[in-house]
Amino acid sequence: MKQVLSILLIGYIHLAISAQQVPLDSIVKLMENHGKIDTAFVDMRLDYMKNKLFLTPNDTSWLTYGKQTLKMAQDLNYPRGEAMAYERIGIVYQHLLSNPYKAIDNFQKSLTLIEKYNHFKFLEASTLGNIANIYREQGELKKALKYYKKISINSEHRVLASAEIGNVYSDLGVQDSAIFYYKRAIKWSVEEKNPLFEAYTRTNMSLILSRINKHKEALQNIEQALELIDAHGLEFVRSTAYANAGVVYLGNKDMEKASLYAHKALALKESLDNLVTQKAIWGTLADVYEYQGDYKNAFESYKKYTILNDSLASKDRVLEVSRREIQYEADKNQALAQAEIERQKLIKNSSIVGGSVLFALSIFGLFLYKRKRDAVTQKQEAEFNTKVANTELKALRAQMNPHFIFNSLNSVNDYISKNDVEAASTYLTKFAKIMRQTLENSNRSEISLEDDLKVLDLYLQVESMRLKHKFTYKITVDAAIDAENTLVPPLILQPFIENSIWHGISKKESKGHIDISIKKEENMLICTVDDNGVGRTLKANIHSTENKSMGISITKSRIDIINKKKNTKGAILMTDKDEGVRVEVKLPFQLAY
Amino acid sequence: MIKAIIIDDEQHCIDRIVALLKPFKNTVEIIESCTTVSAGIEAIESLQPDVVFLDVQIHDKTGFDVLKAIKHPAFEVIFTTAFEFYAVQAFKFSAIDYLLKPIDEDDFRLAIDKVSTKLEAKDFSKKITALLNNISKTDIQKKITIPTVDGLEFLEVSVIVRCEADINYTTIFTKDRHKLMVSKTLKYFEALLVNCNFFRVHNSHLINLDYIKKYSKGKGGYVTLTDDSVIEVSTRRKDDFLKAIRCH
Repeated sequence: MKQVLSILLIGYIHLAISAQQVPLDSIVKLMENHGKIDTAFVDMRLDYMKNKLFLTPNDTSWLTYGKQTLKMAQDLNYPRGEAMAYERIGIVYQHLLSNPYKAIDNFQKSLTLIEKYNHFKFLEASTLGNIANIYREQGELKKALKYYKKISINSEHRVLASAEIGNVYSDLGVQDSAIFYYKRAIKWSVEEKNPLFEAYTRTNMSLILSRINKHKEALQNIEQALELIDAHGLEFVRSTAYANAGVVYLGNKDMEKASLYAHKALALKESLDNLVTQKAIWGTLADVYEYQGDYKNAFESYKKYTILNDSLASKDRVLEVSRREIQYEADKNQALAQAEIERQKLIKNSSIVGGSVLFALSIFGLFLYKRKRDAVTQKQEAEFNTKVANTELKALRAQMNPHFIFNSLNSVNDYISKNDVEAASTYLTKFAKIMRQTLENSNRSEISLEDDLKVLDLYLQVESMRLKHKFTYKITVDAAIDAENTLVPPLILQPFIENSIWHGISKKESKGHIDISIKKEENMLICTVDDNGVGRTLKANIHSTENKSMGISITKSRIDIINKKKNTKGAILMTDKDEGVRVEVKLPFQLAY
Repeated sequence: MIKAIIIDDEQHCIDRIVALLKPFKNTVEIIESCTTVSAGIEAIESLQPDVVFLDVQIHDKTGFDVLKAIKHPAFEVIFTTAFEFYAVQAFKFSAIDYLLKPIDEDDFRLAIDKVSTKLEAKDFSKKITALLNNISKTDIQKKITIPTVDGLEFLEVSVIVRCEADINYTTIFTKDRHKLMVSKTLKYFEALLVNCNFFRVHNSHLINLDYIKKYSKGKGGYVTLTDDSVIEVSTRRKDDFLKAIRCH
């Protein structure tokens, strides 16, 4: 609650008006005759505004007028005019449009310009004062104090500024500081011979002094104030001074004078306009009547005092409530905005997270799908390759048969031409047996080593018969090999044996021998055909045309395909010995079960 | 003296057998040779031989027609054939001897030796019944003739659950939990039964795929059969085995 009777709520502009009173009519006339827009014209418009503003406070065009003037100053690059235009606009907002914050905004712009350009510093004090006044009205006393204190002590407004600081401190309940600034204001007002400010300050100070029970000092100040008022006819301060005098005399137990001044105050029209003054008057009177034993009037006075007090309190409360409301609305809006931001943030974040997760999942899914598809493709490819390989092998096996059959028929023919019918018949029967088994085996890609060796044995028997036992042979299977459970491609060795017999042994003059041995070495089955025939070099000399056996080339292809199909390293190694040839066929070692 | 009849529609084939029998003239006597089915039947009925060399294809008829016509066969049959796959299968199932043309001397000798020792057994009619049965049936419906210690046993293929090798013997396990020990290798049965839904899952095991109850995964895995026997599957047979049961 405001404790001080503030008599100068309308600030500096009024003082300024009284300081340089120029007749409005002459300004208007000057403007009409001026004819062009220059800095002087801007100054005229600003002067006109200053003087006319409070005479027509309901004129809504003042803001536009101010803004136009501002535009002109800006176009002319005239900062002083700009700063002053901002100040005028601020005043329009403050007093005419009741928009204190817009007002402060404009005052601040003005202030910025003033600080930027040094040559119109004199405008600073009134602008600061205006800002401070607004803050004070808004109840932001600390801010008000800050701006009042910015006003230079060399300024023409230093007295009023100091007095106002005193008022604010008084409002804040800081009595010592209030009295200090009041006293300074009094000192300066005496120096400047300004009785109005002196009376004003002393009137306010007397009330504070009375409050802190410095009744004597209070009395001195109010009496001096009253003297100044009477001497200079300072009606502006009079009603407040009378009311305060009532309070001060009451404090000094001078009931008569208290009653006198209270009634004097009541008689003034200005008092009736000011609730604070009235309240103080009725408070004084209630105490006076009570002291005099006039309880009826005391009660009446007290009732009025209470009513005024309540209405003032509620007025302050309204101010407080509206401020709170504004604050609350602002807070609420900010909170809502914040919540909205948070919500957007959350949506954004969850979208990002969700999107990322979805993205990661799709990548992962795609990866799995691709891997699966690759595996399927790979498997299909492998299956296809196996099928191709199998078909190729089958074709090669099929090629083996006619080759073998016609070579055999050839040897049968050879036998028949050289022997009797009976022997030929026996020979043929044996051959039939070989044929039968060969055909049976050729259906299968792999047969047991045992079965294959059986056919080879029969074949060797027959060939040995044909050549009249010109050669001997021996088949050895290493003890480490289970012939029944070991798989080999059928007739792999036959072409090499045939080669040994037809080209190695038959061309030889003496008896020959063929050694066939099967052993195992590091997962490979080593099948060796070792003869002591004429050998390849000699053989080539004898029959230069047949240097390439069909059977051997087919067998080579078969081994190549098996290698590709099973990823093995099967091979054929032919070695020329001093006497005869040694063929080593390496096959992947394979068990049936 | 073993009395023999030769039935073949080609004279050179008869001549061949006659020639092959020369070394056995002290044990085997050729009492008749015929070139038609009807002549053959008549000869058998009238002369009661101990052994008949019977060709499979005789003009537009077969050797089986000869057997069907004989009411109480009391002789050993040796079929001679060039290459009749279905007939050979039937012979194998029924444990009937056969010779493949052109007939090899060594094989012929073995067949004659067998006949001489088996003549006492006198299971001819049963074997012939089995053969005639097998000729007209599909593989699964066939009966296999199993020589046991007590004589011949005729076993329907569909009742065999599995065969287990024991060196040169094979034990046959049937559906009614009967066990049969046979002096044949597992290889012999594998060759015989491979087209009747049998699969050799292991060096020692031949199983009937119809009796699989469960397959448990593993290196090679294990199969549980309906008789609750658990049989190991060889690693090398796994892929083929899985393929076989999928096709099954």
